[in-house]
Amino acid sequence: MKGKKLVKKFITSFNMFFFAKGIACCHKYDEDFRRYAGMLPDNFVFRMRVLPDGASVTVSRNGDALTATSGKELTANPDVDVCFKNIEGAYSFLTGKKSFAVCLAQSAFVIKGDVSGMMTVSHMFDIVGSYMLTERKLKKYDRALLPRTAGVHKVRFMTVFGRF
Amino acid sequence: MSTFSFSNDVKILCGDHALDNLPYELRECECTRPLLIADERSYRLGFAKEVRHAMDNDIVSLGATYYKISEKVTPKDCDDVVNLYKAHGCDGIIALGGENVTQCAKVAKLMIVQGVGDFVYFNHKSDMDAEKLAYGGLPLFILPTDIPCGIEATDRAIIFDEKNNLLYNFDSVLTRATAVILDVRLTDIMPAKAMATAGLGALAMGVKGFVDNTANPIALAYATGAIHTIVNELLPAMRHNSNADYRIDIYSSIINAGIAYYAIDESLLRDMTTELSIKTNYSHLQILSIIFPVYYKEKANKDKAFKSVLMPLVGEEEYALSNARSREIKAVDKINAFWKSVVELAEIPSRLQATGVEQSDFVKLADAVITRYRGSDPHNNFTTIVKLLEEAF
Amino acid sequence: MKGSRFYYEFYNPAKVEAGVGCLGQAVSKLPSMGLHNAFFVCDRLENNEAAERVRKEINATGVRTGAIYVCEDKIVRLESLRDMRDVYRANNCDCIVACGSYCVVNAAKTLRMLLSGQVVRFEDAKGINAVRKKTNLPLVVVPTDIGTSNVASDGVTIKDDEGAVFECRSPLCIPDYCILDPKLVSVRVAEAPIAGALESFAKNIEEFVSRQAITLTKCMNLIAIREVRDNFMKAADDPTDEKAVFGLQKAGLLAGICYCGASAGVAHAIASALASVTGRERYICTGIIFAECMRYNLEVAEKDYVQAYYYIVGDDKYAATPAGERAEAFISAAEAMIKEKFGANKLATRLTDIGADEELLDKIVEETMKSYALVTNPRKVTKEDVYAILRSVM
Repeated sequence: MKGKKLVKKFITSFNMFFFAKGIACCHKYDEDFRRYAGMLPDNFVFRMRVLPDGASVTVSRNGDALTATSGKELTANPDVDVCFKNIEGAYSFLTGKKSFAVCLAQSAFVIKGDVSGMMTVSHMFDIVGSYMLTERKLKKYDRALLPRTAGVHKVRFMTVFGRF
Repeated sequence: MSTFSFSNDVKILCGDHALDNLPYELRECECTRPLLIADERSYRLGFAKEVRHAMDNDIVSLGATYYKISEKVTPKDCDDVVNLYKAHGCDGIIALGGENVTQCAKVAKLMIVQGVGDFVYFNHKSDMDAEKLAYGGLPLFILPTDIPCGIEATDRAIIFDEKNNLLYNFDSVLTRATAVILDVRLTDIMPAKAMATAGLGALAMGVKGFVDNTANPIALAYATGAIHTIVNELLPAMRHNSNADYRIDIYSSIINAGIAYYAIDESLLRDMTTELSIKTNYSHLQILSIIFPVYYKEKANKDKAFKSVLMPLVGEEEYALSNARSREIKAVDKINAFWKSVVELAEIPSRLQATGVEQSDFVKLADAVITRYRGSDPHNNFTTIVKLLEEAF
Repeated sequence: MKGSRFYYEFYNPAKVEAGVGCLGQAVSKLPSMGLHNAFFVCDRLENNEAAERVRKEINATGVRTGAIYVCEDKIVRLESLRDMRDVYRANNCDCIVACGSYCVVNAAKTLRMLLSGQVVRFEDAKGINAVRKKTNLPLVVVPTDIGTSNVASDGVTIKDDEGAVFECRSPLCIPDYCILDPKLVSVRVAEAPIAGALESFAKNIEEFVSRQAITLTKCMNLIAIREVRDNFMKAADDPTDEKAVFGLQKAGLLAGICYCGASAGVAHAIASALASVTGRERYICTGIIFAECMRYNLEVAEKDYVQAYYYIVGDDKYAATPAGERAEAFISAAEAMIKEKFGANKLATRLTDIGADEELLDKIVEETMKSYALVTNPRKVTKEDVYAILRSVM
């Protein structure tokens, strides 16, 4: 059991790293994603982390640029801070078992900050998920398959090998 | 148009990985050194290990552990828990186990908050009832590992001191849990018999809670939900007892039925069940599963609320199509039929005789019930009780 | 059966005391609950008999009135909250008693959240479950509106210094004690029963089909829907009918309790956005778009609609409707109830009636997409869907 938890922690951190890259990649290639990002206020900072001191991913908007970083260092005072209550919730989300909406409906995390900003970011996360997840998983993940404006394979390749 | 009151601030966490939220909930209560108490069964089945793993690498860690709660909880168990709590400077209690552990933890919490050093303090005291909105509270988390008994999310606790033949009945907000956590990992496959008696007992609690709470929409909702789930899922749960989904649904229904049942101030049924439970060593739910068919048959003729209990039993379609004048009869028939199918499938006792009660005990039992009963219904008298016992025998 | 794969949490600590003339008995328990010096929040004091009565009853139990604050904000402003906090502290109050309308209850709940969580910067209170309890601060709520559905909910709405409106959710927003006495309800405007009942009705239906709904919240919602059906017309015709008023109060209470477990959906999101953009009352906006939103959710909520249909029409009509047609019939029945019963006072039926035309559509959709309520809608909501719903009622 202890080993299982450690494995989940590793997978969560690993997936968070690529999730951050996926965000940056979608911003570069997906029109819808850029539109949502444009709705965020300038200098907007969003952070997602695992309580009490797990991995985190921070997304910040500066003008037209959107940067996403993962790691354990915590940015001070993000506009929205989504804190998963435990590793299970984060693991379920980052492995595509549950969508952001389902996680929110099941109180998997606590949200500190502007809820409307979080909603915009959640739409962005859905777009990232629509590229990263397989077709089969996406059907279980969310009822509506999101339209993708960029090539799926290109985005996946660049997420893994690209530099942002 | 009657008044109603309702109060239940126990948080229910139920379902997939519910246990993993325990450290978060403890942190929210600012509890950093909880005492984990459990019975031997829970320890042997590895549930205590599950709890420890859920708290791995968290800032909250267990202050102390105690796995020796007796199968039939005694005042000594409560004293031991309180002493251990104080000795280790704990600041919360996690109760992992069955009814015995739940009762012990609730009473221990009351003792700690009231500053009671020894259980003997409660001798000759009337039921404790204290309301303090300003009361900060001692975090108490109940993690049922056995079939719940229905008091988990209520203000009740019952300890029977076999040695001195004394029953302690606590009804106090100070025994209330902070949260009840139902996680499938903390449950085990339940034999169909156990599931059947618990399910029928919970149905009895639900129906009683429904009928006596028609003026209280909140308690009514708890009762309705419990009846609906039990009627639809008990038989599948018994047939597929390895299916965790059914199990968790039945367990959560038992807890909800208990909330509705114990929301009733005075209840002859509850007092009868308590006395029979003490006499026979059968659990409250087991006794309910035996005497309830007789009880409601007697009451259904007199209580109009039985008409509307048909709805959660059969659903909207059948209810709408039924004859409005004969709904009480239909409700009784439906309950009877359901009871019969469950009893036959599980081959569980359906008469009081099987519990070891003898006819010569009836007068003494009826006396004890009447002494305990504080309601004002004139129909609830010695003769009625003896009649019910005879019919259930 | 949702099963163990579906995780849920349910928590509502509000102690409820309700009934005709229950005020006296209810307030008699306050001293034993540790209340000594109350901060009393109410509507305008002039001709406010209910508030005066409540205050006197509370004082008679030995609980003093440390300070009285009259709250006139429709949506509580940060400035008012700061003011209230200062007055609270200056008078060494140890509890809050709110007696009044939806707005007063909202203000008192927000104040309690901020004080109990010892929130220094308002930004720290924003969010969902963002504030942790640091100190006990009892909150007693005595609503004097019909169908106030925020009495026992965990959400509050706040207007910041720039005029932007936020919703915060926290268990600290849930009162410790709710006293519902229909004798205290006064209908100052003719639309009040409609506003309360319509909001409560819509909220209950949305919560019933919500993604978060569990058996318990569904049962509560069905009971509430039946209460609205049974009592709305009587309360609208005669606001002094205590039984009818009490029925609507119960419906509102249940809607608030369920909100903690099962939030609203797309109708709530669009109605809030419409109200924010057009400046009209939310119940009017709800009346316009509700039926369309129910149609939108039909494909995923059909089974729920079939069940809820009984609670709107009763035995005969339910039995007479073929099973396959009940879901659609439910939508028609709810729509009829809104238009004919609630709309007896001539509710708006089109967006253009409230000044929302094509030009405002983009802004309304943008506001809608920011709403948290979309997440708990049973069907995933996209921008295009929102445009379609709005255009269908244009």
